[in-house]
Amino acid sequence: MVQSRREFLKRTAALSAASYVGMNLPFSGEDLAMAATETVWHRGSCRLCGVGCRVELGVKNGTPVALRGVSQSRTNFGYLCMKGMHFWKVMNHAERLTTPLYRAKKRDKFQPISWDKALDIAAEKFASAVKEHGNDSVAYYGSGQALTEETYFFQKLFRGGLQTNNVEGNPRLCMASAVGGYLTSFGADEPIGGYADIEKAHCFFIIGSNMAEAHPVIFRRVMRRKLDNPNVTVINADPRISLTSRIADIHLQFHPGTDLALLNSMAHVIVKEKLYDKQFLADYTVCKNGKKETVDFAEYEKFLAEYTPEMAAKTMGGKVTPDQIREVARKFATSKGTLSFWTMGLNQRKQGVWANNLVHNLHILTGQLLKEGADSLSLTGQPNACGGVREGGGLCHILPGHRLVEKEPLRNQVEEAWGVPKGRIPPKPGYHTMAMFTALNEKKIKAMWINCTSPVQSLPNCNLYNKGMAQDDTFIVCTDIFPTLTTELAANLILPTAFHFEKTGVYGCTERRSQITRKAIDPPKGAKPEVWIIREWGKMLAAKLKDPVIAQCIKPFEGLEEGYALPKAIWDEYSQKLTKGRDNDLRGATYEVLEQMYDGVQWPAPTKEFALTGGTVKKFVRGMDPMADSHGKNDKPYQFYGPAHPDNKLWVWLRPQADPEEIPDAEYPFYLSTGRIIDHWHTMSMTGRVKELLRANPYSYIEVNPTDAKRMGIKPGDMVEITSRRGTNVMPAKVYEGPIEGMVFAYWHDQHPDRMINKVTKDAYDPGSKEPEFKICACKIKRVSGPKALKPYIV
Amino acid sequence: MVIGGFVVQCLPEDRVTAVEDLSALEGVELYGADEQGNIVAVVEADSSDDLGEVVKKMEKVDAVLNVGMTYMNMEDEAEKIASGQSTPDVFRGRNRKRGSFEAS
Ligand code: SF4
Repeated sequence: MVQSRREFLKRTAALSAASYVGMNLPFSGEDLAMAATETVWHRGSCRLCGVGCRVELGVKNGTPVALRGVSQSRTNFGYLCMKGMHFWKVMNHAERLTTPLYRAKKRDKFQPISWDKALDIAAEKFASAVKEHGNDSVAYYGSGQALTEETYFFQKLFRGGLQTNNVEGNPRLCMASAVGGYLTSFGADEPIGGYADIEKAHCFFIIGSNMAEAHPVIFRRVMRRKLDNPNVTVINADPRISLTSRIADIHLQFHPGTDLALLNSMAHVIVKEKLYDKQFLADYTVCKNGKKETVDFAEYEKFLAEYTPEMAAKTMGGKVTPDQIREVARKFATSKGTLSFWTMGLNQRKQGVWANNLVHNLHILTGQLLKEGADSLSLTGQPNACGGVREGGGLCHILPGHRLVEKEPLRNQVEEAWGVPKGRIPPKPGYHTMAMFTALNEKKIKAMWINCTSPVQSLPNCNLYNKGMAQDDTFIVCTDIFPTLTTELAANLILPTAFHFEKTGVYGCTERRSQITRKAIDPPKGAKPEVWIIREWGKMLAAKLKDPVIAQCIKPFEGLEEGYALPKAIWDEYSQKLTKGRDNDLRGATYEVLEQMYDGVQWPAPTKEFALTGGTVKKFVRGMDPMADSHGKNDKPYQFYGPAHPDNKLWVWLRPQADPEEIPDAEYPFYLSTGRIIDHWHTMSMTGRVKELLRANPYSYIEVNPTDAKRMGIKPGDMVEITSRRGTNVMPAKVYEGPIEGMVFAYWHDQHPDRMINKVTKDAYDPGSKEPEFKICACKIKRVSGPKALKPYIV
Repeated sequence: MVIGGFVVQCLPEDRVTAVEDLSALEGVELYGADEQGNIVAVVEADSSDDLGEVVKKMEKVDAVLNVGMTYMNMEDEAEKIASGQSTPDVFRGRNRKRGSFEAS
């Protein structure tokens, strides 16, 4: 049959869509004979968010031309969101960085230089900083978007080579409180279950998350579950009504920062009405009031006494009724499977870890855990915050394989694996993110490497920290694919890198799942994969510092081809040596295995045979998790072997309601909160360059509740000034029944100096997780003019 | 020419109306619909901008709950992106000329 190319493409499109819903069409893939000769499909992960959707990139004559979802993948079953569908358009973009750029002073113009020269400068600056100012005068600031191989290799060179634990990354700004919550409640980081629970859940509790926009494909699964089973209950708790609330049966709207009272009050109802799982509590849990203080259940009950639904409803601002709290608590406790989701609404808080603990408490109390459809599941923001940074050693206090820096035997294990002398890794954790940029302000850091992230825009209260980054006292290297506000303001040296699908490596998404993306096309001429950059820089560092141990750190990777063999060798070292016997055991997830899987492997996966089944769907459950069997202490069905709880128990925490750092007052009467919009990714350096996405949302605006707008004389589109104690923005108003009265909300993607909302946000942080309170601060707003024509802004 | 594949979702009881309304849109071709309210649609447009417009129209159809994209082919546009013709019109911070960031 003769087909026009047009007809062929249309049929391909129809088949791809039909395959996701299991629909049969009157023609099949085999009929489409042109497919084999034209487009070559390369499987990998979406570059953008933490959902971890699997995609296939269509390449024709070395150029990417198409994208489709992988219907066999258990993350997305083929579906993609709009920004995921477009991410590949940055690959051949005319504005890609393709040559190293250097300037001695940050006010100078950049000059193109050769790679040799660039690496020599980078090595010289780091070496002289170490010689003159000590090992802790250098720092690495990475990203939850770097591949695991990259984060792992960077931190190896900094810790083992340069002998500093100043290794941080932007996941401190988004996931640190979730890490703290999992460790303190369950004894081990990362969720027990995963996405597979969605199709088994009977009640969804979504708090502090606008997953419809931030995790659209997971939200789609939740929506599908609800549509297919109208008896499924969706509860949404959030100060702002968002697109996520569309499918909610119950929406609880409250003043920002009062949700600890809500969560304790739900526990109050559950305990009072004896809706808890007595046997589960007796077998597996203890109550804690501080790490060292174990209390009995009666004490916990006493603690909860004051959190009556009446008290909580009042604390929350009066929009929620006590009966609604009772109803929600009962539904949560008695459904056949309750699945909670949250993201930054809980994490980016001064009480971030506590808020996480209180959600976990509800699951522990009710036994809504470890069984089908039940889990306490923190959604990750970035595609590799879990895999690279949490597991690969990308934060100042953790080494690869969930090892704490301060534990000597664990440091020794890493030193042994690297073949470096015992004691090489310093015992003191490095600077956490906010401390690191404070140290920069204080000129204590002399050389810094910023990889794949833009702190100039993404730090809270950024004006304060941008002063430090703009100083000439710190030499800054940025590795990136496009110019960003950080390359512009802060960098002395910009090194152009290869993008996703132009290099090989692993991303680990929300649900403990590691997935490989293999190189499909060459990077633009002049751009290099980070792993090559690290190795070559490391060689020069070793020479300049005359340090054989630095050379030892890169020795296993010498001479390997950078597109595949090099990252493979790094992954092999990490997975085989550093995760062996740890709770994130990835020994079975070799490249060979990962390449065979449509959707990768969930750890623990100690053997290849097990990894090939997909790995561990539920942690801690005998018969499902091989480590529950190998590390089991008794014959009970659940085994909590996590590294942080020596008693092998789940901990129920007594955590009181506590205010955010800043609450509205007479001078700054509004709450300000910030978040994502569906079409954009982080600081927009990628999505702002894709015209379809930019056009959908060209600039940020401020959402104002209609009652407040009326009172303040603000009409839709009017320009509004938002001022806090730290900074000011001016942006158009969207008058919208979204934020609760007394609260405004802005997107944080916009790069324009007038609309960069992190000038206004607050840099207070959680004392445990050190994650800043982006989500809540006090501000005032004022109408400054009628609507103005604005142009989008990309640096 | 840009071609997109979509699964459009509606409530099962709205399927007939949704199919009628979607078929009436220019550039939209339906390949099937099932009892769960899934509709397989293909959109053909001159450019990805036009495709976006059609998607917006699909989303506005009363019975439609969600338009899920599963496939996109835009081989003609790939060239434009590489040559810089498909770059959005934005205000640049440094008013720099294109090329100042590239090798000389
Ligand atoms: S949901 Fe996230 S991972 Fe999936 S396609 Fe969209 S951006 Fe990519």
